[in-house]
Order: sequence, then C-alpha cells, then structure tokens
Amino acid sequence: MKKIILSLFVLFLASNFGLSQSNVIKIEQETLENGLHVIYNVDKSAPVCAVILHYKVGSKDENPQRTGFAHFFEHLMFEATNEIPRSSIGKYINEVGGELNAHTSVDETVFENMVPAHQIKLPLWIESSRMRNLQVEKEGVETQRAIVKEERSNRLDNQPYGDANEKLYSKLFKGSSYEWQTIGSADHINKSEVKEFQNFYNNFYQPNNATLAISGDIDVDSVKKYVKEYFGSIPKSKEPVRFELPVSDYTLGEIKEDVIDPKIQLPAVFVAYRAPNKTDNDAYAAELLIDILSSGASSRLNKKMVEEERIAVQVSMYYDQMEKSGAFVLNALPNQGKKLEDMLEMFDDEIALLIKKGVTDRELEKAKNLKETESIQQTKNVWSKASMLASYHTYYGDAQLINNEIKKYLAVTKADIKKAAEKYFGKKNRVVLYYYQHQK
Amino acid sequence: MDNSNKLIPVFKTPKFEKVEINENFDVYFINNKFSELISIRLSSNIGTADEFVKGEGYLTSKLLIAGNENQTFKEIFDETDFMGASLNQAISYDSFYLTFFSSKKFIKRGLEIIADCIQKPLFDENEIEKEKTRIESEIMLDLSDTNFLSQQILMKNFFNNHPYGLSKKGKISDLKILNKSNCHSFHSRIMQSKKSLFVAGNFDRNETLEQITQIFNFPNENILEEKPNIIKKEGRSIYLFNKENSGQANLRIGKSATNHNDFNYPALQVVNVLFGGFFMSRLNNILREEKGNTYGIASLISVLKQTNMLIIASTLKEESLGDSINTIIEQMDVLSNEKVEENELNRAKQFTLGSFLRNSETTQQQLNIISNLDNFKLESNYYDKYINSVGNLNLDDLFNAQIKYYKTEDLIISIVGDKKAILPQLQDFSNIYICNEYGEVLEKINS
Repeated sequence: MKKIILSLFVLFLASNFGLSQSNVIKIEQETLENGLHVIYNVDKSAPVCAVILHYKVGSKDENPQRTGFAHFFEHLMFEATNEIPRSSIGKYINEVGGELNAHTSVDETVFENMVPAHQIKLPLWIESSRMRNLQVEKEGVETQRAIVKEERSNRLDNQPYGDANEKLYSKLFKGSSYEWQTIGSADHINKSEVKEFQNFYNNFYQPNNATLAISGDIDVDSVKKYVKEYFGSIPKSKEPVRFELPVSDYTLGEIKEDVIDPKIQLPAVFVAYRAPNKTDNDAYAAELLIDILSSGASSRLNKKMVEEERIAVQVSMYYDQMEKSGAFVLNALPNQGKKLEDMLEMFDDEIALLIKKGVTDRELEKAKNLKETESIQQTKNVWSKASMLASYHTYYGDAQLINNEIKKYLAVTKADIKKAAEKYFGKKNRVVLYYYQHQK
Repeated sequence: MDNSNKLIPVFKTPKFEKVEINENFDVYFINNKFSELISIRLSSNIGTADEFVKGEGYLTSKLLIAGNENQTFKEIFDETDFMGASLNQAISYDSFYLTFFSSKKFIKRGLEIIADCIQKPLFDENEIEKEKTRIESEIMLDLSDTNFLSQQILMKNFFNNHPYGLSKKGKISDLKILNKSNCHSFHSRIMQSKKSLFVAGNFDRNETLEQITQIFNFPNENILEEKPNIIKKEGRSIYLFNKENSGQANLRIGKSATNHNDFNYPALQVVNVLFGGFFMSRLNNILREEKGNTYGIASLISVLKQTNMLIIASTLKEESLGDSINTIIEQMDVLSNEKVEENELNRAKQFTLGSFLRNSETTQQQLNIISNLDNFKLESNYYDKYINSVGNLNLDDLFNAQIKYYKTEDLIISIVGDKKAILPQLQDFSNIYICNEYGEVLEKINS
C-alpha cells in the first residue's frame, strides 16, 4: 500500500493530528553514470541504517515457459559471488549485528539489509558484489532448486486455501504475465539449464535496472563516497529485455468455480475483481473504497455481514496493486449453517447499495484518518522508509511522494469513490471460488 | 571485508518512569518527544493459565472490547476507527493486555476507552453468542493449520495437565458451556490481579498522570492463586498426529530451558542463536542449505512465567523427517560435547546485540522492552546488564550453557504428518505415541 506522511493541505487533518513541518522526510538523490539511482535519508532515531536494493524485475518479466526465475534469483543471490564464498552473505551481515531479507513480487525483487549504522559499508559492498559478480553455477542452482520446491510445498500446496490466489489470478489475468504466481512452476525451474539462469541474471541485475535507498543514522557525504566506490565502476548495461505479456481487458465474464480442498475445516468464498494499476489516478479512490468496505470492525462489510446479519464470521478484502493492473480480493468465511452463495449475495447487495447511494462524509473522513495514522507509523522505521523511497522512485519516478502522496488521498471525493465502485465492481469483472472440504 | 571486530553501539534501555498508584497498579511513562503517535497498554498478570473453566479467559478477553456501560461494540469501533486508531486485546497463558494506538492527539480519549473496557464491561448475551460463534470458527481454522497442531501437541505433552498444556481457546466442547457468569468470574480476577499501564509517545506527563488517577480505580488487593507445579517428563517421547496425504511433516521439538534471572540465560540465548536462532544457524545451514530438507528451520526460547522452553520448529519434506530429527539430535549432541569456535561465538553475540538496536526504534518497540521488565519482574537496568553479559561471554560460559541445556535425553517431539510415510522413518526411536489433534494419546506404537 502506498504510504504517506503529512500535509497542511487540509486544515482539518493538520489540526486533527497536530502535524508539523518537522515531520517532512528529507532526502537527497543522485543517479550514477551507470544508471543506478540512489536515495539517501538521515534518521537518527536509533544507531542503525537500512540499505534497500530494489531491482525492477518480477515474475511478470519472465518467459511464460520459464516461470519462477525472478523468485529463484531472490534465493540464488545468497549463494557465492566472486568475492564472497558460499553461505557467507548472511554470516557477514549477522556477525556485525545486522539482519537481511529479500522478497519478490510480480513486479520487483528487493534485497533488504539493516545494520548498525557504522557498518554501512558492508551491505553496500555485498550488494555491489552480487549485482554483477554473482556466481550462477550448478552447485548453487541445485541447492536452491530443492529449497524452492519446499517453499512451494510449504506456502501453497500444503496450506488450507493455499492455492486460492493461484486459481483466481490464472483466470482473472489469463493470457498476461500476471497469470502465474511469483513462485512459478517447479517444472520450469527443474528443467532450466544453468545457462538460462546466467542469461536472466545478465539481463536484469544491472545498475540501470535498480534503485538503492539508504535510511538511517548516516553521514550522507561519506555514504555517497562508499556508493561511488562500490557501485561506480559497474558499467551501464543495455536496457533489460522483458518478456511481459500485456494485460488486456478482462472479457471472460463472471467465472464461478467450486474447489475441493480436504485440508480445510471451514468452507470459504474468494472473489477477485480486476482493479486499477498502482499508478492509475483511480488507485487512491480505490484504496479508500476498500478501506471503507473492510478495514476495521466498523467497516461496511463487517457491520453488515458479521455483526448485523451474522451470515459470516470473518470478511476481509484487500487491494493488490501491481504495476500494470490490480485486483480487489474478497475472502469470507460463513457462519454455521450459512451458504456461501447467500453470503456472496449479501456482499453483492452491499456493493449495489454503495454504487447507488455512495459513501457518507464520515466514512470518507474515517478512511483518510486511517491512512494518516498508518503512514506516520510506517515512516517511523528506517527499514520501511527506505523500502518506500525505493518503491516510489521505481514506480512513480518520484521519491518525494513519501511526503506528498497524502494530498492525493485527501483530494479523493465521495464521487470518486462511487465512480470507482461502479467501474470496478461489475459482476462480469470477477472470478468467484467456492471452497469446500468435500464434494457438495 | 573484515568487520567482525568492530564494536556495535551500546544499547541503552529506553528511559522510563515508574509511578506506583497503589500496591496493585503501576504506571510506566516512556516519553518520546519526537513521536506523533501514542501507544497505551494495560496489562494484567492473569492469563488463560489462571482459568477456573477452560476457554473462559479467551472469551472474556474478547468481550472486554465488545461493549461497556458507556459504549456498545458498534460505538466503540465507530469512534476508534474514525480516529484512525486501533484498539485490541490479547491474552497469553500468563497475561492479559488491552492496547490503544493512535495519533498523540487522542491520548486522553484512549485512556478513557481503555478504562471503560476494563472497568465497566457489559458481557451482553448477544455479544457473548456472537463471540462464541466466532471463536468456534477460529478453533476450526486452527485445526486445519499443521503449525498450530504440532505446537498444541508439543505443549500438551510437555506440560501434561498443567494449564500451559491446554489450548488458550479451549475445545469447541469447552466453549459451548461458557456463559455470562464465566465472563464475570474471569473479569473479577482480572480486576483483582496486579496491573500495569504503559504510556509511550509524546505527552504531558503530569496531565496524563492526573487523568489516569481520576479514571482508573482498581482494588488494592491481589488475590491471584498460585499455578500448579510443572511436572517434567523423563526420557524422550514422540507424539504423532496422523494427517493423511499431508505432503509435508510439521515438526516441533521441546526441551526445558532456564529463565531470565538465571546467570546462564544470556549464554543460553547466544547458544540458541548459533544453533537455530538466525538464518545462518547450524540447523538452517545443514537442513536447508546443505540437505534441502526444508524451506526453513528455527529454534527459539519460548518465555513463560513459570518456565522457559527451548523449541525447535520446522516444516519438512516428508521423506526427510527421520533424517532431519536425527540431524537435529546430532547437532544438539555436538553442542553439549564440544565448545564452539570463537568466530561463531562472536557472530552470535554480535547478532544478539544488534537485535536490541534494531528493535528499539519506535515507541511501540520501546514500550515492549519496558513491558517485559514489568511482566517478568526484572530490575530496571536488567537489559543494560544483559547486554553487558552478552558482550563479555566467553567460550567457557557458553559451554556451560551448552552442557546444561542441550542434552538430548529429555526431548518431547511432536509431529503432524502422514503416519504411513513417517513411522518407517522412526524405527530407531522408542516411546512413539499416536495422539489426537489436542495431543491426547490414543495408542502407543510398539517399537
């Protein structure tokens, strides 16, 4: 979710939350000759710093016959480089008191380090080494193949409702690069030659396809020198070639399917709608719309379906924002003796009501207040702040959105929300899955 | 690049002030003038291990935010959601918590809401029935979660009939017989328990203290009864819940550990880091990186008031389970017989020291640190001393903890997976029991 800090744009909110200019997040930015964009933020709350390297490569950039490569590289990047022996990257970070992680999505692969601030050189050195000197070799590839297979078993195949997203997206985004999950196909990974991984690495893991964000208790001038020392000599590459199958309009109409999952104890309904992409102007209204529907105990769906009618014991919704498209995803668990179809009908009635009558002033104000608190909370931590800075630059070309994006939320009107509901909540725009433990 | 000998900045316990309102109620202020947000937490030293009737603590804790004399459930959440605030409750075996988190502007209202929830609950019949239905669904979801099941089975067989061995939510059959009187009974014990209120953020100390003394009115007596003693099991036992076609095996291994005030505790924590407490631990290195048996394995020191436990947890490739258990036991044997290398000790020490720095950035994190001091009755400078102890640990200190806590005779092992695939891998083990999803033994397997 896009996050914000504060603004004096609307006087009510400014006075409501007692915000001041002191909360503005100050950043410095530079782009090296090789295209690597670097963002610096000084935050002296604690003697730590976060180093985030954000590569613009995700599962949507993969060959449809070789899915799971971006995620596989999230793993391979912890193998050896020319300078670092196998199984040592984690050791190096841990032994200075730091921690590290990484994640991959449909659009991005992000490497995250947090270290005591005086150790800032270490993650910069490691990231520069694995940016261009990773040893993509048989031993590491074979090790990670086994681990990724277990990851898939753990996260998808053996989890109750674990394949819901895979089933929803394979239909909602059929024919596009969002059709498959980030973890990809085990078969594709198993069949792939080491040479194919090397080509993928050389194509995408380049300075001109990356953003480096550093936040913490740092001296910017010194850190700039380190960045130049470690990344400056890496040559600029040609633009990455992306396989990307475009997302065309959804034309399959409403799809409803029963899924039999012996692992579950409770039946459930999952619904996914096509929604705006993250940079679309509708995205802000769409986000507030989903909050009004499902965020908190006083949200519309919770009040109606859980508290008043008691047709459901749990209703949740989220907005999955992607670079080229988006999805609204509903998950609801029925109360005892209630049918999934009836639950969906009640959800549809609530959506119809919202489209007809719109939202109230209080609901809109509540959604904006919630955004405000969330954003302040997220920017109190150097790890999430650096992540947000890298993300804002990558997708919007504007890291300053960390300070200014609130204006876009505050500018959303009731009419915008109604329009977004009308536009995206059509029944012909969705996939419905009914999960049962046994055949009906 | 050699960075291992560079010293980590010293962690300092966040500054706080403790005010004793009465013998049974303390207030802690953690003032952070840079924070736009406020965190308030009320804690009570009563938890599900103090229940008279199974399930009453979990139900009561949920109902404390579901309506009181001044506001209905709907009104509470209409208001808090509108503020962009969050109001939550939680109950563990040993403690109950109410938390409020919002913009600093709402500190006064947050305190009032918490006071109403804890002092004036209604336990409306309609809300009780709604909550029971909801908890029943939660229990059913838990029963489909192999991680939950393996943990539940471990706790049951580690603690036997002690309350720590029972699920916090109880069984569905427990839930069905609960009523309003159970809620009143458990609530009265919360009211008469020791309580602490933590306020963290940017606020006026005197004004806030005055407000607290006006709106919180707790009895000045503590009637908490002693919990039963824990009877430890002797020997090594395996408890298996059969989940056909499970695809993977979910494993927990438990063993007694020592508590915060033991002089060995810092050493135990550091040994645990290098054993299974971080990504580059021995267990993760062998079972994930070398053998590919699992996506991840971790060990942790689980902290309970009466005892601590060393717990090892992983979801494993089903056919590798026997080999993985043997590997874990081998690694524990190695630890209890051999000193670790100096560089491994340093790495684990540095990681431990760094984790304190990384987890003290926000007001919520700072509140957690101070709350732990209160919860476990630790000295105000406990963490400063702890950090100092970790920094000074040597190989002999560590080895003492290794010998004491990593012997493998008394392991309790719980497994959730397909019996057909798993039992043939356990031929080297005796004392294997088949149990139900609650960890209750159904039969013993003859070895």
